[in-house]
Amino acid sequence: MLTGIKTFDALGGLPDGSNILLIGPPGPEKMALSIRLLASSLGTGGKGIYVTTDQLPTEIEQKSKKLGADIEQYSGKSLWFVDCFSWTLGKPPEAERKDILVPGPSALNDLSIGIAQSMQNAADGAAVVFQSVSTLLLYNNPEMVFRFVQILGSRLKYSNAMTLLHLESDMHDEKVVTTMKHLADEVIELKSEDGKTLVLSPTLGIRNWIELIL
Amino acid sequence: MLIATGIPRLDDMIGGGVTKGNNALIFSEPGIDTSVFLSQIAYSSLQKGMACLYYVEDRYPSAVTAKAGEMKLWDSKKFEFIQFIDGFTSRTGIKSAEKYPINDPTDVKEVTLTVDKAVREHRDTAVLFFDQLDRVVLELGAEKALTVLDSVIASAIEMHTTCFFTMVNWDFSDAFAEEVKKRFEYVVGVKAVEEKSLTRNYFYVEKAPARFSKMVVPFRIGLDGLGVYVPKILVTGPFHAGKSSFVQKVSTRAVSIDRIGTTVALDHGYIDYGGVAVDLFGTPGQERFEFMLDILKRDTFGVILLIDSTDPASFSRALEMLHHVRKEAIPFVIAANKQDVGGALNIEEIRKMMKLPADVPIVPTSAVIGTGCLDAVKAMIDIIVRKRVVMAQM
Repeated sequence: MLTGIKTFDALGGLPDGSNILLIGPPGPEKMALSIRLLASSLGTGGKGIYVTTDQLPTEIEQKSKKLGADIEQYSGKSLWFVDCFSWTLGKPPEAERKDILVPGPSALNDLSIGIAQSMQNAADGAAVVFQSVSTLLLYNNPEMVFRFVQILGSRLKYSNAMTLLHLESDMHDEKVVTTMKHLADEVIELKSEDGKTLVLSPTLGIRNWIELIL
Repeated sequence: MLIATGIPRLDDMIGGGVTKGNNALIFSEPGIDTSVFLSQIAYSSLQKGMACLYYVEDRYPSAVTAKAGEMKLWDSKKFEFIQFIDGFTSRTGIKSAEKYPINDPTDVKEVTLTVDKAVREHRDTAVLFFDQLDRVVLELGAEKALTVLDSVIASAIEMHTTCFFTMVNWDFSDAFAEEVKKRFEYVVGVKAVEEKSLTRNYFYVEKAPARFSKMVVPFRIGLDGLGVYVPKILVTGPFHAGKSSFVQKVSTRAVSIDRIGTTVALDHGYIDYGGVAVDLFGTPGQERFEFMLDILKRDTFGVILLIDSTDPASFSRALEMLHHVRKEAIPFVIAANKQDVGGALNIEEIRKMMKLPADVPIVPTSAVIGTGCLDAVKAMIDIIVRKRVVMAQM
């Protein structure tokens, strides 16, 4: 699948029906990449799902505009948010939005129900952003998260979805990161250097850190 | 004494409810909202004046009541009477305002003592709900989780408290699942079957202390709680057999006509019978086979074949239709209609003339008067759910 991201499209795009672990420092890099990819898919008539555990859907829409890849226009039409964050603020979410609400990042069964619901809207071949696995790891023990990601991953794969799972680097111990890498089909690592975003992904053929061109 | 669950069909299947002081486990695949089972049982228990103690550790107690309160058929104020054993709020760094707060949900001793205190304060009068035992297993490990489970069950038995647990099977080993299940008198299994883009949920009784029904019950979760659901039953038959009258007579909410394309139309009815929600579709008058076959292939669960008991000439046509239904392996019931009309053949005469074996169900009906129609639907539903059991056992 072509992504609208030059670095990846030069390599022939990203494989359909794959779970991609996106590892990067806390900061805007992962989100910028995901939003760009999502916007490109939505712009060509694709469907999208955005699972958020650490930001409000409205915040994400605002940020997408700043990134020059407005996804708000698709919201509720071909893009569905699974909002796992609003409830944790202890205030009722905005009623007029059509987001699928999940009680919080520790309600993993409800989260899988919410994603299944959004998949019914999106049908096959959707682009899915999961922001982020790190929040789940804060609220649940790793064993639970691994099982959740494994089951979720196989369901999304079955629906031929392309899923970007965000994971913060330098936040989890090595064992957790290794297991997460093992659960994913592809791993893309990002880092920031001198104001540039660098990318590394041996499985996709990027064997040395190179600059990510969006 | 029995504690009725209030879940359609389930109470009937286990002889009226769960025996007081016994423990029930609702064991499900991931991705099915089993908390609705607990909400429904809690609602039913609150209505009977029982105390409801509810252990929760993955969300704010307010999220439990808010979600249960969204169901429009329930009086949401009732849920305010649930007493929470709160293993969540402290995780967020906030002090819990609930009656039974737990500061450290990973502390086996604190969890079991708090549950014990709650149960002890409601001797003989309480129902205990323990949502998502799987979390405890994954968080504390199998051994400690079984310690918690044994301790909670021991307290409950001593205080004659009935317990309902839910557990999501996140790929646990069969041996461990058995280890958990053997601690319960009742086990209700919940499964999802994916058919194309549609997911259907089923529940069935896996274990009960006395005789129980082995039916597999399809259900859906909607705004009116947990409803048992049979998606589609087709009412068909030769011209003038009385299909439209039949659909209208049995339907509690009939949508008279449903256009498909521009030329053909269907009768569409909806019926809620004994906790079973059924969609009925009648085929239109012209009865072209191609059309009927097309509908049959679109996930029809069962066919009610209506025949005109006064018109033996139409039987060959009915048999032809039956042949197609059988070829698709769809369960069916024959409704011998117009039994109120003079000269109508009786069931045995019809069975003979159509050369139908004794095990083919024939129900006498009169769609105009309405007699027998519900019996035909009920016979149909029973066959469908029984058939599903056979499939589940394969």
